[in-house]
Amino acid sequence: MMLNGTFDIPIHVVSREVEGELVLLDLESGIYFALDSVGARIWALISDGASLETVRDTMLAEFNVEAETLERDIRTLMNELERRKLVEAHKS
Amino acid sequence: MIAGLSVLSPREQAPLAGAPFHQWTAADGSIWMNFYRVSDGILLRFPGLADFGVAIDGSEACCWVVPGIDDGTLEHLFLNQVLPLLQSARGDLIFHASAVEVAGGAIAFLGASGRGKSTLAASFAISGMPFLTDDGFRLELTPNGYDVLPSHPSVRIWDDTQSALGTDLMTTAAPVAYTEKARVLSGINLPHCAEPRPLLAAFFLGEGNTDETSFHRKRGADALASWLSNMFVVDIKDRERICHNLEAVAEIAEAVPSIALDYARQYKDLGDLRAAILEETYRIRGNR
Repeated sequence: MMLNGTFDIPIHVVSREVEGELVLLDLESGIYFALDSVGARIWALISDGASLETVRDTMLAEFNVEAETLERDIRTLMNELERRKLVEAHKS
Repeated sequence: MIAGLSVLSPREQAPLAGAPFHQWTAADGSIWMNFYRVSDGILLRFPGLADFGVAIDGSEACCWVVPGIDDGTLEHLFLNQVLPLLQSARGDLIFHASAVEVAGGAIAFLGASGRGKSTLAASFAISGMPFLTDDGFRLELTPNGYDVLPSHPSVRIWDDTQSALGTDLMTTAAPVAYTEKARVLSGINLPHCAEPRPLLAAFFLGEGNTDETSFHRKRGADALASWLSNMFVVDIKDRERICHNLEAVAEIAEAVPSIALDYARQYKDLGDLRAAILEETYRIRGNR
């Protein structure tokens, strides 16, 4: 997964924020996926077209966290979302 | 004749064009129901049992049973599987849950098939706390919160549950073709509450891989996802309806205490479990 890569949200995915967190629903499978507040922030940035690098740098300024830890967490979440087909790597 | 359903002549289940757009699987992984899109709505196919045609707005439904399938099986399928989907299509909020009357209100037990919803409902009812519904749990928004609406006065339980609870001495509906579960009818020893009751709390049943009873408050996205995962939805790809549901269920998840409940599945411990659930319910009510 490249740091300068961006992601698209498939048409079959809908989301709803609740108390700063987020629920994603895949209309293809009917599976729901909950994101905590950190995951919801990553989702918001990705949804706006930010690259993983921008997501990392933006969140480093917002959260008290080590860059290495944050980058690992971002990659872990994005891998999980991609595996569940809740995001797709953008193809230019 | 079943109210709201046109029963047509029996027919074999001919192959349908295209693949189903959604499926329900049983606890053993087998396909239990297929959802097909057809020209005038949605066709629900229970393999080897029956096809139900459902208008997309839930206004009407018709049925073709497979030759040899009896009326009891048809009624059972309609009441427990198809009717909640029809109600959902009409805009009602319907969940896979049972509910019982306690403490001047109702508590609900939500979870997938096999998690113990019916056993808990029957257990509370036998202990004098009437059940409102065994499944197809319907909520109605009121000025004071959400009311649980009563449904069919029967509980579906397995033979061993019947024996453990003593319900094998009670009246049951005729056996049906697709399950060995008996439908135990309400009566003096299995009371049913036929009036709406305000929902006090919702308990989401865990898998039972535990020796101890535990309660854990769900909040935020976790609570919302749990409610949504237990919702009857006739067309999972209807984006407009799903987005509407997301809003409606988010309000429920914010208004109703949502509790993860896990416990060892031991019939002998049901009395202690009921006591723990009641204690948790009173604690929640006291904190509101």
